[in-house]
Amino acid sequence: MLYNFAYRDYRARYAQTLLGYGWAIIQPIMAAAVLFFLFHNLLKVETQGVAFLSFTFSGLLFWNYFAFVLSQSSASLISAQSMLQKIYFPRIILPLSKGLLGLVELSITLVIFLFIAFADAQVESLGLLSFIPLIISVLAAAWGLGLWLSALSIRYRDLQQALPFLLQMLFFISPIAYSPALVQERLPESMQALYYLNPISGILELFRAALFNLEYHPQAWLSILVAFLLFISGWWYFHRVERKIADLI
Amino acid sequence: MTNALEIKGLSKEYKLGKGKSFFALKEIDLSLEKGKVLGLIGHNGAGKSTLLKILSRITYPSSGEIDVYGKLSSLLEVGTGFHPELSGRENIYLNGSILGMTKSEIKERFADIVAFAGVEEFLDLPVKRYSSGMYVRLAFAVAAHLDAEVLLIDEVLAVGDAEFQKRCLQRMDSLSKEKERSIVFVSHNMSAIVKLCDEVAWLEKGQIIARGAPQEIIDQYLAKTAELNRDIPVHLRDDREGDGRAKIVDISIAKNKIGQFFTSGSRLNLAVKFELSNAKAQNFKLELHLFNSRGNYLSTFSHSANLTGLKQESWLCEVKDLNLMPGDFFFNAHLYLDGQRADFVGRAFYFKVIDEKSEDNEIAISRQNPGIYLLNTWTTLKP
Repeated sequence: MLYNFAYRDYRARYAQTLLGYGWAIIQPIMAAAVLFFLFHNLLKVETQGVAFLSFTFSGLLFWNYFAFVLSQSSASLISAQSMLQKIYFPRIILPLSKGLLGLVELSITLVIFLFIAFADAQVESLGLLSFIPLIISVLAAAWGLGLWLSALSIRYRDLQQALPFLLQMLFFISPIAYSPALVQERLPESMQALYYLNPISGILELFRAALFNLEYHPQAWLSILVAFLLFISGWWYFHRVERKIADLI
Repeated sequence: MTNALEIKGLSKEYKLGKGKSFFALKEIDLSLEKGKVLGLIGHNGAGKSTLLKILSRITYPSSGEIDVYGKLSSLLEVGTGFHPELSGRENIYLNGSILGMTKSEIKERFADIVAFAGVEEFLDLPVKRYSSGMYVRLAFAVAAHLDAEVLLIDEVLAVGDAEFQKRCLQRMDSLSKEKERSIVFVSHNMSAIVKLCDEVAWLEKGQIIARGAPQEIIDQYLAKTAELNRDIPVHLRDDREGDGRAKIVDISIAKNKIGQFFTSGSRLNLAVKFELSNAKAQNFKLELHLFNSRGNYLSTFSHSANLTGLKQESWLCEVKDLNLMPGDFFFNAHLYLDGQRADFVGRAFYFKVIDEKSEDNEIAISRQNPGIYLLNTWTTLKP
């Protein structure tokens, strides 16, 4: 059923579009180009000694999936209102199926990233394996937040307005197009762990460490813990309100 | 006999804020035997749909107990869960899966579903290109092939043409008789209820006020309905159906204003007024269906024409000889724009036919099932 819901969205997403999958290629490339111009050419930020495009694209790879799953799953209940009031099925399938849907664009972005990384930087091939557990962690974080937000937005619709803003903030405080050291240097020792409460920060740092053979902050693992805590708490909260969905939406 | 469904003390309370609450259902007790069809009737807002929603686990009761023996599936609205961009074939799989069928079960019944819906040629077309009739047929076909022991069906016969409605009823009938499936069926279509159901429960204000043999309960219900709607002017009625693109605002007697009484054979002039919303439409069709007080259909007066573009349309319907037996009658009013139903008001207008001879009136009242009057004269035949 999870697959069926994802397939339904997948078909709907690409029906009657001119470029179809083209969008999955154009979007990250355009984003990378803009970031290249801003952060590399104008601001000349430091990227842990890794070629800027590879570095940034590795960030976008995770970020785009995270942002997609989070925004789609948070809106999933509200956009399926009529169905929720007329058909019974396990409600949690709606937000969860978006994780599956995001895999389409993720795999396209991954292929582009591999082309860029192998052409542009020193890549540790074995380190690529870390992609699997780390993307699962990102998925856990996106699902977790998505479950929280979708369940909360039944009562508080303003969350739907707050989300794009929240995502934008998160994009800038995450080390996507700059080295995490830029932020860490300015934080006192005791505050550094806080930086990894943002699951994206630690997960990205770990991935780059494995792929480009870099050092990483010993507390970066905290991000993975946060990601799974979000998932477990989101799952718990969703089940708590599940029975009231049709009455409140 | 074994029961397929048992409900005990079921209540559903909605909190309205400020300490107030509203009971959509109150202390419902109901059971359904295996292989039987239970009809639910009642006015809009009586709690029929809430009951079906609770049984299908869409919403949850505030208190009470429900026991379902076997798998339960429901069709509360035709076509929800269909995605307009997907093809008919894809939607069958998708909808079947949402309604709880496995992929192999759907595969097995695919041919039957397609044949029942009669959409063989259009299987690979997105359903948004389907006519509304095809859409409805396909949606019903999927639900009708669910392998559930208990099937809940809400007012689905309001859509679709007469031929299709007949097939739906036949399908439900054979599901219950041949396959021992139990069905809970909600409808405003009383003749369908009588044909299909073994038992009828009448819901009013969240409570079951009568339960028993279909014809008996329906007669009670219709008598009550007649009383309730009688004095409400058409424009104040909110128990309408249709998509709302236009609204019938007035039905009244024109010219010969002598109250709502007529003598048999006299002239009836009806003025009908309707208002259009902003929706664009080319033409309209008004239909007045004539029924007697028992709810038996007698005749239809209909008229179609192009719209003039004005916000309000007024038409006069003249019936030269009102050849009816003494008794009570009413009209159901239907309004279609471009072939789609825009408005419907049941029992929109009442009138009484009386006879000059008072003893005939008494016969009519005692029978309460007046029909058409045909002119007849009598002479003695010589042997």
